[in-house]
Amino acid sequence: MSDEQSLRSTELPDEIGERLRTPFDTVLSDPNRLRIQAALHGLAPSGSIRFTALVRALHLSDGNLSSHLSALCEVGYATSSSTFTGKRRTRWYSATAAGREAFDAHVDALRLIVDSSRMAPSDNSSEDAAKNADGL
Amino acid sequence: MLRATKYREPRRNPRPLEWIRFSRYAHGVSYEIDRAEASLREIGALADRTRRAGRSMATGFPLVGWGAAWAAGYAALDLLDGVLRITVMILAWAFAMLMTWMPLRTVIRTGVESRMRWAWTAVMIASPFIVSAAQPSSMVHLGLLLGALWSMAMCLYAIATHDTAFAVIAMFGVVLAGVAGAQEALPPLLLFGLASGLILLTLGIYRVIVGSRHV
Repeated sequence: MSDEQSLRSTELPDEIGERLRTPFDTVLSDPNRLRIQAALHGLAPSGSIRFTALVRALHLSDGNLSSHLSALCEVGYATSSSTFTGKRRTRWYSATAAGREAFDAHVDALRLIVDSSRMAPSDNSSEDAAKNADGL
Repeated sequence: MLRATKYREPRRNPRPLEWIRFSRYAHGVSYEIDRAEASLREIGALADRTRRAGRSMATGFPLVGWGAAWAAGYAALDLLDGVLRITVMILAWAFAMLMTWMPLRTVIRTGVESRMRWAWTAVMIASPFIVSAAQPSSMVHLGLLLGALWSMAMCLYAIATHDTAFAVIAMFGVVLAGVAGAQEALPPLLLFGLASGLILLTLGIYRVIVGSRHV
């Protein structure tokens, strides 16, 4: 095998390389926002969850969760509604269709990175390939 | 070209594998693999957690109610007589209705609660007409027909909500109603009521516990 051929065989396919160049969703790149979106994604398509339940599920402070939820609502990935029991206000949050789509795309991108790292040869096989290339 | 320069590196480089490692990340992405894997695991677990919690809250208490009602009500139909039988059946029905509609402080909504209420109302309204059309030959077969009909309604609800465990158990109820009506070794209503009712009750108790633990 020529040097170039053996070295080329260790590279990622062009298609995967091209997809890896696609930028991640900047909103969901924040780990806490991604976790919030994941929690909302688990609900039924028209389902919603209380703010207090999200706090418990994600172990975030009220202020932190509130600011991240505001950011998600602002870009249209999540939506909120309120119900009142007497004077007591309850806030409900749910994922929008756009949010679900963005979350799926982001998860696909993450999965692609993990899968492509598995597809790439291990260090031992790479070493063999390099040795072959060096004619050892 | 980036790749072309990398091809020549290994022959002179004292660490010839460096370029291969680099080539994996040379596509404008600085995300580490370990971080991506950990992130995938965590968000998968989170989505699963709210999915389970939502399902448990929507079906947990109603399953407890109707499971107990079926076990007690069908057993009463077979074992008791007169006023006592009617009393037990009314109490069982009232308990099931209470478990289904009692105002719980829900933390997750499915968003289809109102539609589900209408769907079950339709099933209840349709039941006497279906019985009239089927003309069951005895009270035993009437009880089994209604049991099979309501189990089928549960199964369709479970399929619509992607609830596999509930769908399988509800379908088991339909099959059991048919088998109980065909066999003579055991009292049919008692067999149907205890077998299908206790399974519904078990699933309901499990979901109530799981639901309270998740959120």
